[in-house]
Amino acid sequence: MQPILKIDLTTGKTEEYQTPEKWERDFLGGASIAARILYASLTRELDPLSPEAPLLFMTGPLTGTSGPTTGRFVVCGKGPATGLWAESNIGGFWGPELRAAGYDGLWITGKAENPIYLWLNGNRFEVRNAAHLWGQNTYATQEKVKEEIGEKSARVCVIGPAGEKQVLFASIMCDHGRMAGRTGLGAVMGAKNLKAIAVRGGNEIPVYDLAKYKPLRSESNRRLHDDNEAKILRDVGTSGVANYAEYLGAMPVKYYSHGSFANIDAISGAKMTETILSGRSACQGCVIACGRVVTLQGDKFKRKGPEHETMVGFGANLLNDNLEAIVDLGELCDRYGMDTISTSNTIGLAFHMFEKGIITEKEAGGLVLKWGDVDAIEQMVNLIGRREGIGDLMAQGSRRFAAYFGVEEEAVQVNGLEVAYHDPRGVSGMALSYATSPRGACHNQSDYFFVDFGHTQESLGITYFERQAQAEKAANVAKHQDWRTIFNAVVMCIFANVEPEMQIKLINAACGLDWTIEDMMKAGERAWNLKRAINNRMGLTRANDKLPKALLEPFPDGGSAGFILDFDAMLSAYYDARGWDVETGKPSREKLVQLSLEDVAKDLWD
Amino acid sequence: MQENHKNCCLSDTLHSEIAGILYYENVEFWDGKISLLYFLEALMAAIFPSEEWLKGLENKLNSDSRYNEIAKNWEGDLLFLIEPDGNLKERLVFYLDLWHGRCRKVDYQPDVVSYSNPTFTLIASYKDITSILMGKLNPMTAMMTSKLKVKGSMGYMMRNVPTVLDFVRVAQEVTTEIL
Repeated sequence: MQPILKIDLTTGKTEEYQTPEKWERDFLGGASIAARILYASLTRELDPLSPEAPLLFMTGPLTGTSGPTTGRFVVCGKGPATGLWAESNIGGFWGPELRAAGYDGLWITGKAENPIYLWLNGNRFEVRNAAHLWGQNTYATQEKVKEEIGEKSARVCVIGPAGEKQVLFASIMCDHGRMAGRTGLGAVMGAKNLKAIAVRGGNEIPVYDLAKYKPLRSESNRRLHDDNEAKILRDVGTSGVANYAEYLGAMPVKYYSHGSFANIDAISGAKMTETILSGRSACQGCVIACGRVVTLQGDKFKRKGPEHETMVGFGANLLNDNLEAIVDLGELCDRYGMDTISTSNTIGLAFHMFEKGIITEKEAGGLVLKWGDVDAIEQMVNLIGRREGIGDLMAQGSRRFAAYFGVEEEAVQVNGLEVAYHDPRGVSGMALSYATSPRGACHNQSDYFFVDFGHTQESLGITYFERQAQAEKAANVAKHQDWRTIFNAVVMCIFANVEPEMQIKLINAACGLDWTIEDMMKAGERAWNLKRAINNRMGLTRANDKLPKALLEPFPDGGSAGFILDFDAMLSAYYDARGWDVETGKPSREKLVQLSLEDVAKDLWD
Repeated sequence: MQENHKNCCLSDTLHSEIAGILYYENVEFWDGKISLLYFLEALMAAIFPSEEWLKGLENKLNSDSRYNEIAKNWEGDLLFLIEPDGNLKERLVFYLDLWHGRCRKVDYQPDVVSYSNPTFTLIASYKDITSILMGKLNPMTAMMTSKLKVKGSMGYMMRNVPTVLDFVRVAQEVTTEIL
């Protein structure tokens, strides 16, 4: 591996950190190796918004190699809303550029006295004043930084005003619309007075055996290009699955209270393709191009179109069937630099609380929160982004917002992270995905809804269970989590429908390994348990593995009407599959030792 | 015959329909003398692959009220290319023109150039297509794992998944025996 550049923003000092070889072998890279590196520093006492809090921008051994969907990196640290392990995966071109600059990661600590941005140009490193950029939106900041450094080809990671104001679900953007959306690490950047990081590199990206890697890369990209799922994503974007999800009753509607949205045709990916789509965008080396470029009626500008989460969050979740408004609301969040899932979820909670009379027009700053009212939704986004009025409370996330009014149980979140838009009442595996994810209610640590739709992986033993089967699929979910952990380590997009047999060949050629699929799965399991142990050390127990009240109630309508999850049975089966201790929620000593995590076993059990 | 009988993929609805016909014909049901399969074959001649199977599918698509309703907005023809595998020694081609919940035309083993621009071309191995017809392979799994390759608008396909699934249901119900 290339070194990681450590940067102390308080002192301005830098040093190169070389990851121990054993860790490279055991964890590969990305979020997995980040967990190993940060393990010791992520303590219960650590304030995630303090200067001491680390923030690690980490690539993986496949990043920038032009393998299938490998233009990605991850940002890791301690989540300001969850107080737990935080990681957020992001595409674009920044990660490959960092590797081309000679580093596999940037490890940032400390806090600058005033707003700054970093400029890494090959081996040259500068800290620059960003006082004049403070308050600028994410798009303008990228352009201004490029202009100032005189390097149009540089790639720039930025935060917007939401990160500066430490909205606890602030995101990090690169490449005009690619977001590390979840877990609020934009707020951690903001707390460090770090507005942006520009990188430019000119080196070859290291691959252990390029001669072996090249034909594998070509073959896997060719197959991926022709793959059905890739075609769906290219043709209609990630929200192309919306019609099917709605049909199954797997899409939450009106803040998770309904399972049917009659106007789904008006906002789905298919509708977008037929009406406002004017182009597609792709991350570095990606043959799928799921990114949407849209042009609204009477508008000459090309804009980023919404992906599935934004479409549901600002659409069905709020009973809004205006596709163009969804585009605007998604873009507004992007400009502030806020996660569209957490933002739309928290706004949905506000509407829900308003309907129940828990908050009134007075608390809402004079707003009448009527479902589907686009103006009201937009005003809520602005209030959150500026941390004004009720927006200041909402900016702390749905858990704290609901708790402030004494109704924490109304918030649809797990451990402080808002639930995404794949409802476990329609695709039951998501119950465990949400409840046991190391970063809160996350759909990307295990996008198990795809398995429940029918996407199996026979060679991994990930077989098909009926979409509303429950405890019997727990071990399957665990396997799927282990596998997806590998994606976050190497770092590869989960939309890459690449067979595990090909995936392991790519990893072996890139890293000089001779792994089997079983070795790969064990590495995934190792990292999953390490992240669990980090969370245990920060106070997480079995009591945290739960679902919000709304998801345990039946839908009154739609394709999953009446179905009730038996979550306790699912969780018990999951613990059995994982080898976790039922009393404490920790991985057992035996499990940790079996995974070569002896030091962690000692920390947790001695 | 008993083995084939076990392989039937009959829905409860179809069982009821057949039972009704058998009652009307005053044939003793489940007595072991005359197998259900015999009657199914006589009624629909639904051995896959065969031209009779395709005709049976056409008839069923046009008479199945559930399909007629679910597929009422569907507009598109399908060209199936089934690659040789197992008992299938040569490529199998069949064509269906589906329109607003009805099947307007079928064609068994046509020259592929006769249908040069179908709405969807669906390509699968014989093993996989028969697994779908026997209910052993979920059609969504087949599509998502590319065992069933699809050429055509995936957006249209995803928007109309209920129609696709119900088309498969009808095909399964028609299929009484696999060669």
